[in-house]
Amino acid sequence: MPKQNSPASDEAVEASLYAKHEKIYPREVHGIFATLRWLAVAVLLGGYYLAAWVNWDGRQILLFDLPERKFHILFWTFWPQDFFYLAVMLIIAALSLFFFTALAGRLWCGYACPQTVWTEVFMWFEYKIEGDRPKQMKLDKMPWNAYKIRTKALKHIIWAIFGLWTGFTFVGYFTPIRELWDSVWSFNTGPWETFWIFFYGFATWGNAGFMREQVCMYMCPYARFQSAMYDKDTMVVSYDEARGEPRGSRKRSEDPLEKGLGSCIDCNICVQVCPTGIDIRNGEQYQCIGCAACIDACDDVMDKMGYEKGLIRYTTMNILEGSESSILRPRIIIYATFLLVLTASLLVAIVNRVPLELDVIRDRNELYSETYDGMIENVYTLKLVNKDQTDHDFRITVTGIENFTMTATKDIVHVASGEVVTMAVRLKADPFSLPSRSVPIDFHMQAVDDETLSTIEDAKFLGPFRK
Amino acid sequence: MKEDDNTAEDDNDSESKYDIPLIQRISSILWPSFITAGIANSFFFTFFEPQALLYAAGYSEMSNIAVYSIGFFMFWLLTSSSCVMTSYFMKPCCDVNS
Ligand code: SF4
Ligand code: SF4
Repeated sequence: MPKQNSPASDEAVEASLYAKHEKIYPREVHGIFATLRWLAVAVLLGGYYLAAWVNWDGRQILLFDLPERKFHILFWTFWPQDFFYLAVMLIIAALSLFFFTALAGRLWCGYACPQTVWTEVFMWFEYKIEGDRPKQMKLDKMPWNAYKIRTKALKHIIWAIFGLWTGFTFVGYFTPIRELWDSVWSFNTGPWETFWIFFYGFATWGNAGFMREQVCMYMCPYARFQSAMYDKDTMVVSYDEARGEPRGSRKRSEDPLEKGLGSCIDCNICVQVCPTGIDIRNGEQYQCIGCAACIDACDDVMDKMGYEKGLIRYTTMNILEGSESSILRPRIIIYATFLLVLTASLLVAIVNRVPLELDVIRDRNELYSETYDGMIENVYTLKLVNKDQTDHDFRITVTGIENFTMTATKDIVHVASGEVVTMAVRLKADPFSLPSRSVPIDFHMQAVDDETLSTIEDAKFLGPFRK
Repeated sequence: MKEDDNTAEDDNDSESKYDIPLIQRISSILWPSFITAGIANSFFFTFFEPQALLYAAGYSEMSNIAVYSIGFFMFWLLTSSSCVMTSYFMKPCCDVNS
C-alpha cells in the first residue's frame, strides 16, 4: 500500500533494487515541446479521469462491464462474441504505431505513453514540493532532519493520493464508477475491487515515482524494436554535429569562429534535462524516448547566446548528412493506406452490425428419427441472442427444404435486450421430397417490430441414405 | 538461492558491462509474464463463461470479478514460473560447476 511506505524504507529498498542505478534528476524545461507535452498530458489524463464519469442514455459511455460481460463503447455494446472487432482494433493500433514511428520516431513515447504522461505529473509534484533539480539533489544528500522528513512525507502522501485516485478510476472502467464511488465512501467495496484499486494505485506510484526511465529501458518491448522501423527519412531528435563541434565554453561576446569552435557551448544543459540521463550529442541511442526536452533546453541556450536555434532538433539522418530527404516515401504511403482502409472498414462494419445472433445446434443423440407416419424428423436447439439496446419479439422461419412442418416451443419469441433465449425446434419432412441425405437449410430470425433486424444461420437437415 | 548466486557473481566482476541490473532481472520475469497472463486471461474468459465454469466445477457462488482475478493470478503464476525457468536455464553452463 502506497501510503505506508515511509521515506526511510524507500531508501533501503532502492539501495537494494537499484544497485547500479544512479538516480536521475531531470531539470525542469520550458519551451514549445514542453508545452505540447503538457497539452498531451492534459488531454490524455483529463480524458482518462473524466471519461469514466460521462453517461449517455443512463450508462457510462466507456465501460468494460466485466460482471455483466458486456463492453460499452460510446453508444455501442460489444459482447464476448464480438471478439473480432477487438482484434481488428488491436491491429489498427499496431499499424498506427508503425506509421508514427516511421514518420517521426518515438512520438508515442515522448507525448502519449502512460508511462511518460504519469511520470510528467509525478515529477511536477516533485518540483513543487522539493524544488528544482539542485534543491532535490541537496535534499537527497542532507541527513535526515525534520525538514527532510516533512518534505518527503508530503511528496509521498500526494503521490499516494494521486495513485489511488488513478487506481479507483481504472477500476471504474470495469465496474460502474458511480456505484463504486458510493461504495468507497461507505467502505463496502468488494474485496477484489479494493484489491485492484490498490494494485493499480501502487503500480502508478512505483512506475511514475521510482521506476521512470527504467520502465522504458527494461520493460518496454516497443523501445527494443522501434529502431527497426526507422529509416534515414524518419524525423528524430538529433544533435547537429557538423554545426555544434568542436564544442567548448566561451563568453557570449566572443566569436566562436575566431576561437575555432562550433555552436555547442558545452553547457551540459541538454544532459541535465534528459529524463533518461543520456547525452544526445553522442548520437542516437535506444534510451532516447524522443521527448524533445533537450531541444527546448538547447534552443533556450542558443537564444541566450544569440545563435540560431535548432542545434538539437527534429530532423532526418538524410538531412544531417546533406542529402535529399522526403517525408512521403513508399513506406509511409503503404502504412497510411492500410491504416485508412482498415479503420474505414471497421467503422462500416460496426455501424452495419446486426445486433442479433442465432446459434443452431443439432441434437447430438441422433442424426434423425422416423415418426410413426413415415416422416423424417430433425431436432435443433436454437440460441437467440438480442444484443440490441431494446427488447424485441422474433419470428423463426426455415428455408431450404420443401414439404416440411415445423414445431417450435413458441411461435413468437420474446428476447429482452442483452438476453439469450434457448428454444427447441423440430422439423418434419417427407423423405421422398429430400433431394439428398444431407440438405443445407437456413434458419431466419426476424424481429417482428423491425424489418431491418434479421439474421440467418445455416444448418443441415439429415435424412436416411437412399440408393 | 538464485539471488545469492547473482550477488556472488556481482562481487566478482561488478564492473562488467554484461552485468544485468537486478531490477532488469526482476522485471524480465514478472513483466512479460504479467502481459501474457493478461492476454491469456482475456482470451480464456472470452470463450468460457465464468459462472458456467464455476457450476461445472462444482464450486460455490463467486462474483465474476473474483473469478477473473483468480484466473488472472493462476495464469500469472504459470507464466512467471516458465519465465523463471527460462532465465534459470539461460545461465551460462560454465557457471554451474564453479
Ligand atoms: S544544451 Fe546545446 S549548447 Fe548546451 S551542451 Fe547541449 S548541445 Fe551544447
Ligand atoms: S536525448 Fe533528448 S529527446 Fe532523447 S530522451 Fe533525452 S531529452 Fe528526451
